[in-house]
Formats: sequence, structure tokens, C-alpha cells
Amino acid sequence: MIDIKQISLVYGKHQVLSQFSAHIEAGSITAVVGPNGSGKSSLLSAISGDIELASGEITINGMPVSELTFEELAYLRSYAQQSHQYWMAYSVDEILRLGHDHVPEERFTYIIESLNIESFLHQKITTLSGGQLQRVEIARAFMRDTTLVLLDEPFASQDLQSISRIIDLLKAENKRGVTVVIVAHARGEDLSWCDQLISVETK
Amino acid sequence: MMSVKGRRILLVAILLSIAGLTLFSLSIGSAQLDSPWATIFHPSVPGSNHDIIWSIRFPRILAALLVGMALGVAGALSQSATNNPLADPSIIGTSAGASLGAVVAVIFNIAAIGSIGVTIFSIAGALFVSLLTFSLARNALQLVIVGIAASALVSAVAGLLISISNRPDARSISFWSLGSMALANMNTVEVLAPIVLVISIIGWSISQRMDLLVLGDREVRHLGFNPRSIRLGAFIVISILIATAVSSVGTIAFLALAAPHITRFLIGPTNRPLIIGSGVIGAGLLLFADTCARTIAPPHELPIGLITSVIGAPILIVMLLKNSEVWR
Repeated sequence: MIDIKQISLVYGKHQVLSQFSAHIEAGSITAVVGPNGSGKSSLLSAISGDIELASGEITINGMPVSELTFEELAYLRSYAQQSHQYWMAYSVDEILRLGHDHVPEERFTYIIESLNIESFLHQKITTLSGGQLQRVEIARAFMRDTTLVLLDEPFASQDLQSISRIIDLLKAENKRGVTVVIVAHARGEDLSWCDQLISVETK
Repeated sequence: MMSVKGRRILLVAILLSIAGLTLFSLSIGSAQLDSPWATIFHPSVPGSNHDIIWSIRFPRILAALLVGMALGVAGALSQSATNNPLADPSIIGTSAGASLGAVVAVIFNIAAIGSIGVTIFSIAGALFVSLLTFSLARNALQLVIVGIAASALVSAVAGLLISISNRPDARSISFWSLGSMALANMNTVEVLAPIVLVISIIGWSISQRMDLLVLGDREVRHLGFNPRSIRLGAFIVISILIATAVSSVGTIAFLALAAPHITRFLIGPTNRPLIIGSGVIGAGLLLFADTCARTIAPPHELPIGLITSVIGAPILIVMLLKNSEVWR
């Protein structure tokens, strides 16, 4: 599904990844692990098509990500960022529905119940805790039902019960054929439920 | 969040209040009229009262409503387009560009004050500065920073042009940076009405997609949309609305910031109702401010920018303190 071929990522003068290669199977759950600053989130952003590569190529289903348009990428993948700061007080319900006009109501309900969002669904997004906000981001990523879902540190601000709920959702979606890639810290997290670990080392 | 029915009831209540304020504003002014209500309710009867009420006060009231509407709509679009509750058209450079366009037209004798020519120059100036800001900035935060810098630069250029001008009426040109409804007449209304109404409707029609911008540029791209394209449409609408207002009555402080915030407090942040509400509340606030400006200390007229700040700022602060969840 995803082929990462000899990629290098550079921010200004700082090289984040150098000649990095990996392969992610369709229908798998993959965790990208490594220490802080090693480029885990950058790799996820590169797969998502958000940042330009200094060299190398990433393909999804054989198509180079750099040649795909916004619209084409939107059909292929969805992405949950680690956190996002909201400045306007939309309700959680409104935020979850933005850009998701065609999401069936059953799908919407299933996702918010899986992530225990019902209790704060009608609260203003500006009043949520870090963990609640992160679950809203994860819920948004699963709403559109894409075949590839990328999650940047989905457990970072979660309590044990929420982590367990998120893992159950990832597994259930994976059973339906969704390919899941998460960024995680290897240390202290049980990632035995993942099919593959990709290790990114500090350059 | 207020229901659709609740919003409609509130809108009707505000519109009725504005209608009442319009009648009240027609009835009072520096000229003490014997029986203003008879003239107001029998507009076909000629006389000196008739001229004061229908030829002087009425066009000024219409101009205040239209300018207030333009400022309210442009302010709401500015905040949504930049995803920044502090952004108003003066922060993204639009107001300064509009002033510069108008000043250039008048100083170089290209168009006369109050003419459609000045409005066209003003629109060109606003579009130039807004689009320059837009093209230089890569994200919503940079838009505000680049806009503030561009605004300062362009305001300085306009100020220098006025300072070095040897025109005897140079002082009146500076009216664009101070703002005044005193020169508004039926010609002003004829320029304002079609542009403000049509462009506000266009602003409303593009505003639904602008809700996406609250998610951040990155997520907007993930959904398959280009955030810059969404913003570009908003910037063009804001430029035309602000330039039309500025070229007609000058720069009026605070309204474009306050009207959307007050509206957001009342009905929430969703753009389509926000645009309508900001236009209506902007219109009502400016009419109220102008009525105060010309009646508090007759025959002197108080600067309208001071009144809009004195009225708008406390309302904004009280609402913020009462409900801090509306913004972060």
C-alpha cells in the first residue's frame, strides 16, 4: 500500500530523515516509533502529502504522493493531528460534521460512541480538555471512511480507559480493511497489538 | 447554541429595533422642528421640515445603515478568513489600502470627493493591499502579521501624500482617516446601496465553506479543499465592502471588530447566520452612533469613530466577561 523509498526530509539546515525506506502493507496496523525529534511525525506528514521531500519518493497504491492533488489525497487518506487550537466556539457536534456532509448518521454515532464523545458532543470546542480535543481529532479522521488513516500520537493525552477505547476502534476499523499508521513512543507503550513497528532513529 | 427559530425571533426583534431607531433618528437633530412626526408620517407634504427630514436626515440614516452593514459583514468575513478573532479589515491592510486609493484619486485630481471614481480607486487600493498581504502570507497567522505591517506602510504613504499636497482642501482629504457621516447624501446612498447589498449577498453565499477554516489550513487540505482559494474569495469581498464604505464616509473605528463579536456571542460562530447578524448589528450600531454623534452636543458634531468605540467597547467587554467560552 505505502512504499517509502530512500526519502530525505530537511527543515532549513536541519536534516530530519536521511535515505529512509520502509513498506507498509495494505490492511495492517503500523506504529512509527522513535525518540523525540527523530522525525516520526514528519514521516507521517510526508506520507500524508503535507510536506515536500528533499529526495526520494512515497507512493500510496503505486501513486506518487507528490503528484496527487488535494482532492485525490482526500479520497485516499485521513489524518488526525496531535492537537489543534480552536479560536471560535463551535460545538463539538458542528466541528465533527464540518466537511463531512455525506457521512451517514449511523457511522457518525458509531464513531462518537466508540470514543466516548457523546457526553461532551454539545459542549463548545473551546472548553474541552487536551484529551477530549485529541479524541475529537481522532473521530474526525475516521468519519470519512478512507482506506488509510494516519494518527499522530493518538494516546499522548489519554487516560488508560480512553487508550483502550481508541485501540478497540483502531482494531475494529482495521478488521474492515482500513490501513492504520500511528506515531507512538516505543517506551512505555504496549504496541504488541500492532502488525508492524517502523523505527525512526535520530540522525 | 441558539436554535434556528430563536435566531429568527432575535433577528426580527433587532430589525424592529432598527426601524424604531430610524424613526427616532429622523425626528431629532440640531435643527429643532415643530412637529417632525407629522412630516415623517406624511412625507408627501412639502415644507422646510420636509427638506430637513427627507433630504438631509434620511439619506444620512440610509448611508449609516449601509456602511454599518458593510463593516459588520466585512468584519465577520475577516475574522473567519484569518481564523483569528482579533482580525478586522484594518488589521489585514484593507482599510489603509482603501484610504490610499481614495487619497490618490483626489490629490492627483483624477476624481472628485464623493464621486464613483473615488470609490473605484478606493476599491483598487483595497484590493491591491489585501491581495499583496494575501500573496506574501503563507498561513492565517502570517496574514495578520503581514497585514499589520502593510497597513502601517500604506497609511504612512497616504499621510505623506496628504502632507506634501498643496491643495487647499487637503485637510478635508484627511477625512478618510477620521471618518464622518456629515457629508453623506442621496448620491452617497446611490453609490453605497447597490454595491453593499450585492457584495454582502455574495459574501454570505461563500461564507459556508469558510466554516472549514476553523479546522486549520492543514485539515482543510486533508478534506480536499485549498484554504487559500477559500480565503481569496473572502478577501475580494472584504476589499470591495470596505473600500465602498471608506470612500463614502471614511474609516470608522471598531465597528468591524465589535459587530461580529457581539453577533457571535448572541447566535454562535457558524458563518451564514453570523454574516447576516453582523450586517444587521453593524447597521444598527452605526445608526445609533451617528444619531448620538449629531444630537449629543448640537450644533457641533462629535467624531463618529469615538462614539462607535464608546458604545462598542463596553458591550464587547461585558459580553466577554459574562461568557468567556465564546472565545478562548
